[in-house]
Amino acid sequence: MLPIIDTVGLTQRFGSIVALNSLNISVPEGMTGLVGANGAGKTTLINVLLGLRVPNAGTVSVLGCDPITEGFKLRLQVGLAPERNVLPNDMRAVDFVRHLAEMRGIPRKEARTRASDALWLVGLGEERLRELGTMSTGQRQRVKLAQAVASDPKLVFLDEPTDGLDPVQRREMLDLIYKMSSEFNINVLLASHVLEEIERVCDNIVALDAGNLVACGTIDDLAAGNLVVRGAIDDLAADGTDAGGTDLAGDTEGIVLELVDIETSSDTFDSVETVEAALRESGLEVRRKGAVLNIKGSELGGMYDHVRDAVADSGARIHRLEKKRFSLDDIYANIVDE
Amino acid sequence: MSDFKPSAVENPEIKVARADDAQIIDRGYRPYEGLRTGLPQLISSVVVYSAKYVLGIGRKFRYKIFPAIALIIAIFPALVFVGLSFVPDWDLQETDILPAYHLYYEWPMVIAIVMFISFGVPDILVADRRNGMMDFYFSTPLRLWSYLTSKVLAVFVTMLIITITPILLLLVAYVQEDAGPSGVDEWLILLARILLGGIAAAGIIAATTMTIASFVDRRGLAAASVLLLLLGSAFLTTILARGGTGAWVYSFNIPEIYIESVNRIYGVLPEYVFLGEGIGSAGLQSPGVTPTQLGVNPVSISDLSTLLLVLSYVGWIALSSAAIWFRYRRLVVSR
Repeated sequence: MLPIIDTVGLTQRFGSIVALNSLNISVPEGMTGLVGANGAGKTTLINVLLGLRVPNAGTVSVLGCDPITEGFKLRLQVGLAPERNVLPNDMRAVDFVRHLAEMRGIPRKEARTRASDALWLVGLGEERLRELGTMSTGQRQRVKLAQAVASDPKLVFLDEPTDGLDPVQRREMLDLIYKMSSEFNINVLLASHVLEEIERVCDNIVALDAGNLVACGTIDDLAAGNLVVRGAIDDLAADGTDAGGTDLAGDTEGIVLELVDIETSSDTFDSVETVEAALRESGLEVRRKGAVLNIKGSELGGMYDHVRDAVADSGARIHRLEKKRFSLDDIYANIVDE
Repeated sequence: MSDFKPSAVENPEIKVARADDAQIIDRGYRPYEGLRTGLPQLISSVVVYSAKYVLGIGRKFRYKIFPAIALIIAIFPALVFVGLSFVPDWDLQETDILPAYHLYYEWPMVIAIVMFISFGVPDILVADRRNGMMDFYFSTPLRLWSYLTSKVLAVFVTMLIITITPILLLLVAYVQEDAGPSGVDEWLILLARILLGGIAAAGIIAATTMTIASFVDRRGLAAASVLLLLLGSAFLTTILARGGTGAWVYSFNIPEIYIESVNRIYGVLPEYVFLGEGIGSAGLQSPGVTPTQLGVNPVSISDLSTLLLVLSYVGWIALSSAAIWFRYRRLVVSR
């Protein structure tokens, strides 16, 4: 199956700042999360994929089109819900959605029907005649989603679609996006800095950090530790793993250990550090935050034994010990830390 | 049907469907299989949307006030003339009530135009930058050139309503008074003049307004800047002309270019009026002779050759277009 997004050596600079650094991305059909902290390059990447920016180097293909030379054809087939939460306040929702459906090539009469249908789809059927300025943040996000899909695009770029929503609205919005993608076969590139959201609804992930690609593949692969990616595509082995052998993710299971630091000599409280060092010596991967240790290893039973011994030797006391399935957040943090 | 009714009658549990029970059960989002429109349709969609926006159609009442006033100022007098022309036994020509076509562009049209461009037109660009529409537009097949073309066309089309409609009404009044054109050629010439006059009047004002609107993000400030540019250019060039510069200085007088372009399109011979110094009557007595030829100073825009006038007009349009293009190219389309 051909990837819907394919870039090789994609580089975008703004003066001396490298916003995208030689990205090699291959995104299959389905829902893909584009993750990264603010400033990682997510919005710049979407701009390039839409043909709004001409990259300084590299090649880009979206839905089989070159965004620069075949921009017209491409942009008829895509939708975008931009990040900025500004809309024409004195326009009715249905007029807004209809106008943008027309702008994506839907004939006027058909656009009117589709605008209503799209608004019903996102749960705003009864509100379709309301002015956008009178709508809540959640409703405005839904309107943005409705205009993005009203033209029946093959690919939708959603830039922070849950921004400004409360937890319940976030969940509803993600469910809606998932439903649209799965029921209507619309490919989605969902940009977010909330990894939990990506993990919840996406099949694939593209992770950026300061313009560099740090991961690209399926979320299952990422979680299983056999993903991939840093540096140029040339560095990848034929099987898709990193030829450099960097273990970027690791196992998905581990232990969270919270200790109470005990005074071990007259003036030092280093029992937590002692435990950390002992666990590392045992070959376990340990991340420490204060008195909390996140421990990863290959075999859970052995890990408990190591923890028991290390704690006993250090004189520290266990405040909490629990088994943990590492989230995408942890995996991403690991990748970026590397 | 014949099978259904008896069953319903026999069994009261069976309900017969009636028109007011009908429901649409097959509605909802579905894939689109039809053809997609091309660039001309996209541009026309933006033109229609923007024209409606600037005229306040589909917007709150307060946004309709100024466009409505501008339209009333532009069209109402012409409607009155049409009405008067139907009053029996009243010769509007004889009583000199009907204004010449070209004079209508000076009053009341110019007031309508100033009101329209001050309070409505700048919003056509400013609003898109402020309310996020630009972000949406640039995710569609629209590009910078097609976006700006659409916007300029929208302003132009709405201004044509002001610059052409009242003149056509005036034509109706003239025809009713038996003073309209006679013969096909006269009709064609007059209609061409009305069209060209409308385009000329709308073009330079629209271009100037759009230039200001592309640089200023506040609609009020944009309106004030447009007025300042129009009045400033008129004031400054008049002062310079009094100071003894050549007629070329009027190339920078936007209101004069507007009026003189219309005059020449209508083939009106120079009518020299200079701040009450009596040149007007001299000009009228010697039609076709410029103030300079009459030995009267200072010069007026009538001394500009038609070629220079056309070049000035085109120059302003080109300068405005370049400024708008420059501004938008530099705008970060950051979505």
